[in-house]
Amino acid sequence: MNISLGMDRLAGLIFVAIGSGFLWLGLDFGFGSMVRIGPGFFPIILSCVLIALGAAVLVWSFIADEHVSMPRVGPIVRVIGSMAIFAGLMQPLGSYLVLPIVVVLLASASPLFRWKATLLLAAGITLCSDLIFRVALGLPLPAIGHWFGG
Amino acid sequence: MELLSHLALGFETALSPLNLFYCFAGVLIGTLIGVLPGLGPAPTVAMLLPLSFGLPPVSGFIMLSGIFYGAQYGGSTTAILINTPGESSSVVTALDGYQMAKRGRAGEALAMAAVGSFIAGTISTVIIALLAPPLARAALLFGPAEYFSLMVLGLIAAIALANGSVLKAVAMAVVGLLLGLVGTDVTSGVQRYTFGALNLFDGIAIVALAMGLFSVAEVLRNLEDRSDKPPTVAQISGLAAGLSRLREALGSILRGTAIGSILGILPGGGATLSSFASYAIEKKISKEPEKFGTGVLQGLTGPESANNAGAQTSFIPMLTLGLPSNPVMALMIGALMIHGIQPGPNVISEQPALFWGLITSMWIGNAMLVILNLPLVGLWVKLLTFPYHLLFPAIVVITCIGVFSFNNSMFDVWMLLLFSVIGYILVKLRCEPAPMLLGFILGPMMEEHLRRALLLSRGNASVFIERPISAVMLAIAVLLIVAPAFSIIRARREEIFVED
Repeated sequence: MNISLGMDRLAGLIFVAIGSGFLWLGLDFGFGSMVRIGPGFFPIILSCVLIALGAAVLVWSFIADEHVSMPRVGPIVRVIGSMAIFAGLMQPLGSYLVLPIVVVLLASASPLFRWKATLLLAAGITLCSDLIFRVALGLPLPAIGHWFGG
Repeated sequence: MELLSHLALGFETALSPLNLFYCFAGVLIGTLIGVLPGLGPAPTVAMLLPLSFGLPPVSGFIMLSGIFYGAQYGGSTTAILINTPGESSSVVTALDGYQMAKRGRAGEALAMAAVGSFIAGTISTVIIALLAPPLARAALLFGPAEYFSLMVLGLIAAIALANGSVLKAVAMAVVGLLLGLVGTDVTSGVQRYTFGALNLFDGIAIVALAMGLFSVAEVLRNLEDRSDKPPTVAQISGLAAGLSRLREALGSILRGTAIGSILGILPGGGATLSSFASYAIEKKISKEPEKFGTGVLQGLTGPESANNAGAQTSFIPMLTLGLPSNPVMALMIGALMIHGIQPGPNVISEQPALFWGLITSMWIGNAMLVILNLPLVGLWVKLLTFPYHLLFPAIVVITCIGVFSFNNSMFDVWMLLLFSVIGYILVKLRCEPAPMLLGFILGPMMEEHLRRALLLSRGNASVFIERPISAVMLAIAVLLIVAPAFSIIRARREEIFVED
């Protein structure tokens, strides 16, 4: 599949969008005066600079640009998903359940995924992190989550 | 001798059993992780940053810098043995280093790289001790206008000397500056870009930003284009025999050290540029330049010394001006601020034990690296063949836990997720994430200096070009942006002519 999306075209658009967003929100902060600059002064100036730079990147993209290579969605979704599981389910499920799930999901992002090695790895990581981070360093990472009465 | 008493204080601090231990731990962990495939100094330091927060500032700093040059060193080992430079500054090391290893001279290459790095580290430590105090005294004379211009120059120089599109890199720096402003404005108390989220009142957590941009985005990139076959490792023999060739290499080591020390001080120079420059010079003055790339000793020792010297002297702008010249130094500044130390010219006078202890610990750490690495090289070889598909799940889990531990907050892990996605998109669009991190660190400081400068000049914005030092710095910044733009246009014109 070939999408005809230029790398710099997209980058320029993103910069303009970010700049516009920061500018729009920044207008409410209060610009102040030149002597006493307000909280909006620097953000507004930076946003305008960013929009100008984004526009320049955009213009340049019409002169020379390269196509974006298609991302491989599978691995990305798995890695990001596993981080979401870590953040969202750590408290309710606890690390004894969440870390193995996270490790298996992560490992499955690689084409070399094997169940046996991954399960060993999951057990190792769960045990080590529990000993190092919860027991030794005292981080509030529950071993058993509150859904199970932990 | 003022210097001697300073160094005595430094050694007293660095040689205390506790700090000696943290120096050793830093160097060991840094090398260990730097050797692992796909982990350069920046992600290593980002990942281990939270480890230092529980320690006293001096010990924490000694350990962090140990991690930094340990990781740098580990990167060269990987470059020599399996031709996969972990980061850009080791690219040059791989050129002749790997060729030497392929020709059965791996032991010689490793030994000479270690010795070269140690000599470079020793000399550049002395340079830091000599140069930093006068530079800091000069910087104390700077007013807010000079500081503002200095930061503009630092940011631009870091961008101009990096590779890739300058325009996109400047835009990235501006995005970083804006992200740095998120949180409560210290002067007015206004909430900026927090969307009412309590977790953002103190700003975006630097670990979430740095680890997302460097650690996780790197994992995502590796998963995309990595052919995960076990690397072939060169046989190691002749470690001791290699040392006998020190005499041949000494010239290149000293030249590399000189180049590295000078370029390392410049913002954005640092390790990468130094090693490339040194390789070019060694090739130019060599009697047999055509042999470079086939395993020439000087082609390894020169850049390797330069890259170590550059890494060390890049501490100078960080410690004396509060100016980060690369992502690792940006993280160091972040760590300083978390410890409640405002980086800048006052660090030397207000925290002499920290400053001199850190400098002497660098020298001690370099000595440890030599002693540690030559006997342990067998262990590193085992590590660098560790399969990536079993390594990256551990990297991601440790990153998540590390970010969480920063504030014991899951919100930061969600931010990590966000910046991982952003970092990946940036890599896809060939936008360098480094300027964004530098901007993020400099944003609040630049705003503060801008505010003060305008207050003092009664709102006259021309103060930045009326004050000579400030004007010169801004002029250099403009030159740095404009000069490459012209050379690109010229290159394109030539291209067009060629096509005709």
